[in-house]
Amino acid sequence: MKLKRRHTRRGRIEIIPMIDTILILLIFYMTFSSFTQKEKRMDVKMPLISRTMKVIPNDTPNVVLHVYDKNKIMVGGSQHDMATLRETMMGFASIGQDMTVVIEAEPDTPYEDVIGALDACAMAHLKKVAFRPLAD
Amino acid sequence: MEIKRRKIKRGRIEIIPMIDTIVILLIFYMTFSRFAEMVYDAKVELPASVAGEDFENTPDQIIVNMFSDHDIRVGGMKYAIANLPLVLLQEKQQHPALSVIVRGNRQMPYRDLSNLMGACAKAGIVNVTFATLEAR
Repeated sequence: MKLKRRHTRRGRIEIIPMIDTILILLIFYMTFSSFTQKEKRMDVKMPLISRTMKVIPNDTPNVVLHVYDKNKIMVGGSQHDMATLRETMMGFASIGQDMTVVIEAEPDTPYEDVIGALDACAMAHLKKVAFRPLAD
Repeated sequence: MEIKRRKIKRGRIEIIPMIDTIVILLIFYMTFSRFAEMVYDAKVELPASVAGEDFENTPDQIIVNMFSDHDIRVGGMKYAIANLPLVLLQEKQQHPALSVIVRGNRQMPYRDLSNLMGACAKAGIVNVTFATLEAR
């Protein structure tokens, strides 16, 4: 009786499963890339105000925001938090969007609270925003 | 005389050149992701904002990653605030319309930001942009 020899297969790369794997990886990365937070930008012209604390001469009215922290932001003698600041800035924007907003803060005020104030201005479409550096 | 017929090759995917191409692409992306990491320091915890425009890369901008005024990273190099005006001046000579993109750590005090503003003013840079993350 003739015995049938087992045929030894030559090792080779399978294309179809490889394409499947690549497609699954592609879908995976495309899905998870949408979960990453997008980086944004907020423009500020500097320095509009000198270190001598002198406010630049301007025909348009200036609003000064003094940021202590996110719960205490002084605008013209009245205290605000981030939510009420947004409403206030919207109110200023309805008067005129060409007014200059000057943001100043305490030396230890966290950067994110200062950016929060800047965000409130950006939300109200107030474009002329300047930071006042601390006096030496 | 018998004329030799040209053999028609069956079209098939060549595995070895494909693997070569994939490896080269992999090395390419790995190298350039390293450069991107140097420019955008992933360890910086950016503040969040609602407003702001989408981030765009332009040649006349310099990205300043700032943890504090003692730890400022520009293009993978670490600087202190005292050395920054010189770096900015050198860049400004190459790109006269240079703008500074500040990627500041959210917990950084305003004092450090004020010092950065001073450095920008010394280098004669008036365009400063703050990078933020899109608020969820």
